[in-house]
Amino acid sequence: MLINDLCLPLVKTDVSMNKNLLLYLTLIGSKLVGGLLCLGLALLLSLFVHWHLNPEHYKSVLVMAKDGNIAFTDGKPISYNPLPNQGNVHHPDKTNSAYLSNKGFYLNELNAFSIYYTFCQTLLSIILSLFMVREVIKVLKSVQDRQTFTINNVKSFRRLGYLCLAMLALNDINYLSTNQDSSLSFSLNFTMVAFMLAAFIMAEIFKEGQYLSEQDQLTI
Amino acid sequence: MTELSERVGLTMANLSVLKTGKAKAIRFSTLEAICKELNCQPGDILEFQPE
Repeated sequence: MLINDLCLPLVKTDVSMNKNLLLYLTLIGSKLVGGLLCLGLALLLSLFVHWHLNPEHYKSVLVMAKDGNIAFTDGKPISYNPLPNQGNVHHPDKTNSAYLSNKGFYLNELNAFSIYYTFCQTLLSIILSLFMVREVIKVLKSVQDRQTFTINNVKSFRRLGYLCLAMLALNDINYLSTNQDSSLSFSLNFTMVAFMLAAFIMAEIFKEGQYLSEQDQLTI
Repeated sequence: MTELSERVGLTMANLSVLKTGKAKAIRFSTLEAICKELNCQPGDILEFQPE
């Protein structure tokens, strides 16, 4: 009995501290991700401006539609083994097996629409991710302030769900095109579908929690 | 109001919620404390109003 009396407060304090520490770390992590996304956005815009000014610099960049994503490489895909006397040749070569199997295109070959489409897709993805991180930070801060079950958190989770849906729609279609060839790929990101469903379910749970919290507050 | 809140041990905000009819429920302990201080029965301070 005495041991229990002594131990119980200690255990309770530890749980509370762990919860706060976990929240604190998650908050720091979210802010870090937000910062990285801002950096990514700045980098993307810088690269886009630089590409406009000096397109020759990017002539060896290979763009591939792979696993539903657009990948940029330096023109040396994993399956690409240039002949010894050729060295690192990055010029377009339709007989290159990597080119044909991975459906890759050199950046200078792509037509303007394809490049702008991919740029806008990437730009919007980063912006949507930033909004998602902002909503997550808002929810985490409210939990830290012990204001968990509020209507703002319900709205935040709904917004997260809609942002996931927008992200899904945005990244569904990848389109790369040159004057001779084109690649159109459709993909469904199941992780994003799971996140979207989880966000909408959490919104409903928080709505119920908010109702119960309001009931409790109005019980005198 | 101030005197009652002090005697019953309720905050002014909670007493105001009770007075304005915004309260969703009342605890037996609160009801008991009010009745004790006002020297009355629950029926004296509660009234049923059909919607």
